[in-house]
Amino acid sequence: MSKTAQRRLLKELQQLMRDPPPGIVAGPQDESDLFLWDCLVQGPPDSPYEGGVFEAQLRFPRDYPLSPPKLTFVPSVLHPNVYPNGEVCISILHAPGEDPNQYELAEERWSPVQSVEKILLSVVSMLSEPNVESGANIDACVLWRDNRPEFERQVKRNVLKSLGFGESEA
Amino acid sequence: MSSLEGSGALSGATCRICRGEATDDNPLFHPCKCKGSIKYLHEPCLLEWIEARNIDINDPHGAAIYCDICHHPFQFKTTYAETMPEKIPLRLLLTNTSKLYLIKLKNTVLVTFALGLLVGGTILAWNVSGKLYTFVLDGKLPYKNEFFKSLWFGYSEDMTTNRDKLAFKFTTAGVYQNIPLLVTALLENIKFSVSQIGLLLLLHLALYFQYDMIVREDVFGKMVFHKIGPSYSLEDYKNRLRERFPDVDDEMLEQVARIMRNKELLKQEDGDDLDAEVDVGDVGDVVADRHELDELVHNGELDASLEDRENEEEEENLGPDSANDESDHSSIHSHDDSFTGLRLPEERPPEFAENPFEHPLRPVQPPNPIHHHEPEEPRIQLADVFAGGADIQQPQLQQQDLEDEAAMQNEPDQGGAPFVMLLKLRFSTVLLYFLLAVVIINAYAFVSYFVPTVIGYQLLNLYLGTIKTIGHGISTAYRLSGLRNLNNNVAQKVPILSVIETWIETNVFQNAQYYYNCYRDGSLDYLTEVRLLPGLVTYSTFVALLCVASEFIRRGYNRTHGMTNKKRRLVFQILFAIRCTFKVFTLFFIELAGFPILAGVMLDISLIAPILGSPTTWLWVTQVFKFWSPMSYIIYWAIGTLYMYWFAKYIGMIRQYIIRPGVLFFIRSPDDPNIKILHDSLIHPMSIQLSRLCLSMFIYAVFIIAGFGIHTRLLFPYVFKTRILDAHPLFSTIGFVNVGTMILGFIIAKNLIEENPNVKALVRHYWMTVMTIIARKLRLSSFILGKDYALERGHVLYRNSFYHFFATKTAQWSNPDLFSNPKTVMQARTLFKENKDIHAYFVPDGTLMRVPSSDIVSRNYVQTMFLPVTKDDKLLKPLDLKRIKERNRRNAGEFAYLDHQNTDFDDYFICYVPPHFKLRYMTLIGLMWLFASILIFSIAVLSQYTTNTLSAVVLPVLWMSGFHDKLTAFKTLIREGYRQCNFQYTSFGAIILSLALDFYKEHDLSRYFFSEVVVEDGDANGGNEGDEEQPVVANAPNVNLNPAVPRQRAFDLIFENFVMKSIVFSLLNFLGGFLVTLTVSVMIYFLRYTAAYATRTALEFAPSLKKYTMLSGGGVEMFKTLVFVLSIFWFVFPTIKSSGQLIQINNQRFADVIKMIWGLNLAAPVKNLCKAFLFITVVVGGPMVYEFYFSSTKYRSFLDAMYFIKLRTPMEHYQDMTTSMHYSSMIVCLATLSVAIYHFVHIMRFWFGKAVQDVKDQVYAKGRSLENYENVETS
Repeated sequence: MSKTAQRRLLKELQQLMRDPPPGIVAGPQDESDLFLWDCLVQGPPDSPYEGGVFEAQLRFPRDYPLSPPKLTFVPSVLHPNVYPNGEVCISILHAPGEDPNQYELAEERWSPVQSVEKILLSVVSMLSEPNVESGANIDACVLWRDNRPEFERQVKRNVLKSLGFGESEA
Repeated sequence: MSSLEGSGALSGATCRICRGEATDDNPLFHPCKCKGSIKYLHEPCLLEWIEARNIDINDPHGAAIYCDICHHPFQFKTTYAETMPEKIPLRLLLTNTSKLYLIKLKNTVLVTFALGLLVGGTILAWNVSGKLYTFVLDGKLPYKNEFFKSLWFGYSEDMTTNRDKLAFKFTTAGVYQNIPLLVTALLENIKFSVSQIGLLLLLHLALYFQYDMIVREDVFGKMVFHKIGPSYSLEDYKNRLRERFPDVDDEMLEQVARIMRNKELLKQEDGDDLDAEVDVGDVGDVVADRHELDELVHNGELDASLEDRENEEEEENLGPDSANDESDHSSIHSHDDSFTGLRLPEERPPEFAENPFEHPLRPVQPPNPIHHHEPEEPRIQLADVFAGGADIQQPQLQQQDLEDEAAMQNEPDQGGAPFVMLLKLRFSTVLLYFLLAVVIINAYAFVSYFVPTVIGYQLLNLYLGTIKTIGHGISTAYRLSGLRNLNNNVAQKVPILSVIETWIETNVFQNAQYYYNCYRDGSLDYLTEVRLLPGLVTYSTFVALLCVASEFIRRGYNRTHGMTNKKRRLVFQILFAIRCTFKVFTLFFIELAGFPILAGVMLDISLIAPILGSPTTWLWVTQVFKFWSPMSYIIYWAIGTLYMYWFAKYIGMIRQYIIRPGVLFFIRSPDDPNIKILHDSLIHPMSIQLSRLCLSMFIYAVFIIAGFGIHTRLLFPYVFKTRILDAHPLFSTIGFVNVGTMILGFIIAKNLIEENPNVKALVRHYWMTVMTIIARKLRLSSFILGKDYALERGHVLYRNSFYHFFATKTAQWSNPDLFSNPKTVMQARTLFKENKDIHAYFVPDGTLMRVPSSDIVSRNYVQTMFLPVTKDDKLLKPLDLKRIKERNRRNAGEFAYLDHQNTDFDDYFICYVPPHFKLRYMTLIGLMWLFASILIFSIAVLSQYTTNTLSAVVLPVLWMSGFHDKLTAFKTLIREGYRQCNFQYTSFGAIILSLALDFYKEHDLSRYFFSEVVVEDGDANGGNEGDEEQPVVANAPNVNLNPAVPRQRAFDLIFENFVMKSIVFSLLNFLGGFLVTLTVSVMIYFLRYTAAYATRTALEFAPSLKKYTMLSGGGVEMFKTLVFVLSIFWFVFPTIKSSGQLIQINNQRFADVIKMIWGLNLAAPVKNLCKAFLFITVVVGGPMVYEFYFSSTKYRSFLDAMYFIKLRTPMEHYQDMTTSMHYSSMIVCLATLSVAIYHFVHIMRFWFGKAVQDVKDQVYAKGRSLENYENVETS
């Protein structure tokens, strides 16, 4: 099981190295452990996250690709679909059958067909278009829905903070 | 075939799961529709993924597994064991196939059996148990010593009136001879039981929901409180206070406790927060000197009032919302706290937990989010268990679902298998369920029928005995006293009195006597009403006892002296709730069912029966629905409801457009904020509500009888001596066609006309004109229309009657300042003498009066209205408040103080009221009646004449076609049509007129006819429903009179509604069924004779065979019956099948509905039947043509030949048959036979192949392996 996973992860890594998608960098944290990756995601343009670079951790299960990996922003990001602890909640990261509310279609959820690249692309698209219907961070949801300028202001402040500029422009 | 050695040629293709490439021992497959980089798969990878989703891949009969992406099932092929022989052994094949078919048969039988037993059996069990109990009650059988016959036939009217028919012995022979009778009786039983069960279910549901509504109603809690007071005594309060503040002295505690209780009382009366705040002040006053306590109590109070707001709903509903389970205690505690204003979190002994209204029957409410944390936990656990745990078990659940699905697809051949499998239906379980149902039914019948009847007999004896004794007493007293002689003397002098006495004696006393005797000797026992009587007596006695008991329990308690015993409170609350339920149920029943039915019956008597029936019939609807009497109640209800709806719409129109608001204050307006039906029914005393209901029923009945009955029963037949309202018998004889066209015509006319804005505008205009004129003439404009005319403020006094009647104008002109200089009567009389030239003076009279200026004034306010006032609004007479209060007190009942009427709209208007006000008002109503009659009658006659005239179009057609007898008949019909109206013509004419009106408005034709736009003219007068009353008109949205209003097309208006769609749906179903059946029957008919002919001609069979094939008279009858029965089957079956669709129909367009129906019932079968029919016609028609052609000398026509073929010819003709005939039919028969054999073989091969495959799949199958998608498609 673990061997399959390792093989596949290696393949995916090769694929990512060979043909890296724009704005995304990903790779194992440590050569010895293929199951924990570090990722850097660029904030998509025309979104409050523009200009930011967000660090995230991908933790693969031993039975990958049968089960989806877990993606966590370190440090967390203010976003309706990101839990306060940084965990990302998007449909592609949900195993089929996990969603009791049937919000998500089966083809939107995890399947071995998906890959790290697709996950990260989904994250980028999530950053530009939050899905408030199935929110993870309720406060962020409310803020995003009811007071967009304040939401954007807070996000921009966080972006600056993450880049090491402090609260100069708050 | 499946592996992908070849297609691995596509280099670089990788498995979509492991991203590996194809190897020799692990080839790539593409088993679904996916393309591109995710096209390929390794079989082990897919299996692993599927396994991860807990689906068993190796089961060859397993469910299809769908691709996550393209949702196409992965292509698998079944692999078989190596041991599978090339040829399947025949024995195995036979056993397997027969097993399969046996299972199928078993399941079919089982399902049929289960359905039959559980549905039909339950109904019959109901019937049988009822009969058995009745036999036991009677102590004898209706048919002596014939138990089964009694059970089968039960009690029926035939027993007494038609004894001979049922005189047969219930033996095998007797049964065989009387099968039709038995079947009729069985159907009767089923009908009877079904209606009983339905009615009982309805009754139970109605009572239950009524109960539920009452218990939820907030005023109910207040009523309970009124009856038994608070649950805490003063001592309780004191004790609780003492626990909280141990250092406060007794006197102070007592005072605080009393204040708190007062506060609770106040809150019960009206749960305003305002009171709580006021009370905070009070408490503060009392304990002003004790700062500490003051503050504490203050805080407590504030807390309490805060909490009040939080739990407002709970407070309001006072308990009914909380359910009777322990989980509620938390909520109840907080409840208590808010009552007392004290927080005792550490002291919550269970005995303090008191549910203000606990009831064991109530379902558990959804938990309150604040107070129900504890009970929610187990629920979550339960849900977890049920759902199989949160995360990990979820896939399992899905897998189980899929497995179920797999199980279902596992036996695709087993017909009803999934159903059977899911319910685990077995013969034993079916029987068990049935037994259970029987036991329940028996128990129910025992409790609800047997026991009450047994008691009821005794009670009835008691009551009847009492009545009899009293009656005896009265008659004896009457005889002994001199009254009898007095009566005789009076009767001799006043003959009408004796007539009335005789009538009463024959119609009341003798009937009563008759029924009493029949009840005593049991000769009316077959009547359900008589059977129900004892039970009903018991029930009503029981209810009466309950009411008395609830009063008995609360004796000695009231609002200030509360009942503290919890159990006693509970018992009282239940009893009181039941009592209220029965009260409200009775009222609602009268209002919702009795009222419309009465109105319907009245309409029948005064409108429908005289028009459609003969003058002597009283009720027409009952004659139509003779076959099932309850139906006529439903019809009456529908008629009455429709009438009331229209009446309400009429009132609404009058209210909105014509009269001043406030005139109709006594008719409740729909936007009245004071309408709280349940609330009012609960708090007002029963007797007053009943008397109000009776009064309004009486007024309604009088309105209908006087409004319609006078015309139909008196004016037209006797005064005008015309039969124009009487429908011609040709159109009114009760039959399917007449009744059907009437209903259809009515529905179409209603749909087209009811909401037609042009018609509405026209009728509204008519009424506005009429009302204005009437009001002016009666000097009521100020009161009715709210328009003040100076001229109406008095009358003109003339010198003498000559000037009054013959020279009015001259007289008025003789006084130049007639109206500007009014005089009193005395002044005028002197002036007449002084000035000989002036012949008229204006004399003001009447008074000014306060009248309500809104239709939604409160009840109490109305009592201060209708008082004369001066010009500057001073009362002429002081208000008799004492009398009003006295009357209110008498009518109010004990809960009157709970009634809060909205007084926002209480306002008055000062209007002028002329003298003889009541007389004028009556005249107004009479004139309105007259004008309504004119409107309805003229429209009816106009509609009738329109249709009748239009129908004359047929005359030249008939004349040209040469149907002279028909022509004469039709001429007579048209002549009659001008003398007698009929419903069909009238409704059709009304439709035409309304369409004409639409056209007139749409093209603005009035400008061609009139220079100004005027609406009232003969042509435009149409449109109102012919035989209906004026309330067709309604308060439409503000429509300008002049421009036409765009509206839906007529087709849509007619068909785009539920009723018409349902009717058309059923008709089409029937038609479809009929067509299919006809085809089937004709084919059977042809087949039968072709087969017979072929056998006879080919094999020269014995002539005796002819008997079987002969189409005798009986054969035709049988054929007809067959067609009829089958069409009914085809009609009923699809209707039942599509009853679900029937509900959806409403949302679909009519055209789609037709498509659906025809698609559902006809398309496929008709196609097949047509094919078969063609085939058979060729087979049958060939010999006919052949025969005719070759022996044309023998037959006069082709028809003769056809008759010959059909073996209608007598025996001797048969001898003359030519050999060519034999020959040809031989050939045809052989051809048919060979075709049939070919088909048979084909079918057998197909089945054989299938059977072999089944055996392979079931016996030798090992597993599945992947297959490529294209391969499947191409193979």
